[in-house]
Amino acid sequence: MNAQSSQQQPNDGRHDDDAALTDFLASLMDYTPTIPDELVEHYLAKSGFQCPDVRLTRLVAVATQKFIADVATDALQYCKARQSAVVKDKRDKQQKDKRLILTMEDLSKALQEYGVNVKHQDYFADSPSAGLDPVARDE
Amino acid sequence: MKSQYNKPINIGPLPEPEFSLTLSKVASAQICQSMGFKAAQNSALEVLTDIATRYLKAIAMLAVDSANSFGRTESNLLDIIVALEDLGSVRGFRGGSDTKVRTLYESQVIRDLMVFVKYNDEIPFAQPLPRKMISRSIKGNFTKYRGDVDNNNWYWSEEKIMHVPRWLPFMPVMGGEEKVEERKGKSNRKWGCLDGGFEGEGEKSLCRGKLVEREGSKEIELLGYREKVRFKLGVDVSVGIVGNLRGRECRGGGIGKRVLCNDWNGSGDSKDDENKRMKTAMNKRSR
Repeated sequence: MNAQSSQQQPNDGRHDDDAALTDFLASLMDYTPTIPDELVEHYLAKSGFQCPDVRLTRLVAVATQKFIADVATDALQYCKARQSAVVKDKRDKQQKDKRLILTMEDLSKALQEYGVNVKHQDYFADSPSAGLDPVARDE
Repeated sequence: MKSQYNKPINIGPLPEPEFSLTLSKVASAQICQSMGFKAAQNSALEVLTDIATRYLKAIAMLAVDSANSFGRTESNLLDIIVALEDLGSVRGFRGGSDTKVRTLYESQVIRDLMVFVKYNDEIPFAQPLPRKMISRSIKGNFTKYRGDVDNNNWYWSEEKIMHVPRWLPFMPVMGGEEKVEERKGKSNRKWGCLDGGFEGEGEKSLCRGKLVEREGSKEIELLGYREKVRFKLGVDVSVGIVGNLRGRECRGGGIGKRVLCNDWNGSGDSKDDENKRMKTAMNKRSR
């Protein structure tokens, strides 16, 4: 692999990277990811992953956490953008809508960037104005 | 028979996939909350949970694949970095299109993770989880709590051996007088005797071993030659059926394997043996 081929010609930058990576892995021992170790170990074992090193388990947990956090952040931005696009027509309703809620609409938009196509049911309307777009709503 | 398995189990813990999914749901809800969400639709949260578990499994499977392609069974850091780069390639990452030789250690994926860990507060999971402690025992007690959580010994000795099917008997315990005695008691019990009848005194135990006294501690030394493990079909009450099948081949249990049904007590004095069985069966009925 790349790592092995470049080991023959070491340069100073690589040692720094190595040191940084070692420090990072060591710091994972003290870091508690939101996804618990037991859960990660369960899923890893189910997929046939074998490694006794706790740091690598934590690394996988952190990677998953970062992925979910990225998706959630994108969805949050979509949510905020959608709310600011609504014309300030009904004050009270807007106050109610101002709450940041993770919805399928925002989530599917956010996930599309990550290569996940989620189709939520369009016909499942939980409010009378659910199917209408903002332009139609204010007319 | 089938209806037995279709019965919903309403006592005890949740089935395993549901349990782990619930846990992941809590974790992803916590992550969403930390990102600034105040609430979430249930369906959206479920989708996010599903994607989180799929992502985790995808990392694991890609890492396993890359380890296996190099002839290893254990994955290492480089495998995980390769897997993360693979999964990140959908969206792209800095340096992903470089043609010059670069080390995996300086991958942008891992640097992003470093930044993430550095600038994000750690949010521990809502509740501390116990280690996996529920396991099925052979005798049919559905759940049995084995040992205490702090004792890691059983965890490594039994639960970690994933390739051994659960229905096989435990590995022989080396050392420890009490455990040796317990094992002897268990080995006297026939497999297939669901009502737990013990064998006679002259019976040969299935896993015979020499008890060796070594520096005060008794140990079992396994013999080089061991007898074949034989299964007995049918319950003790149905003596006639077992008697008819004796010494012949029969199709067992719908699995499609041929099982040799042998007489347990040897070929001699089978009549006496049958009489004995009839007597025990009658006794049980009268009880």
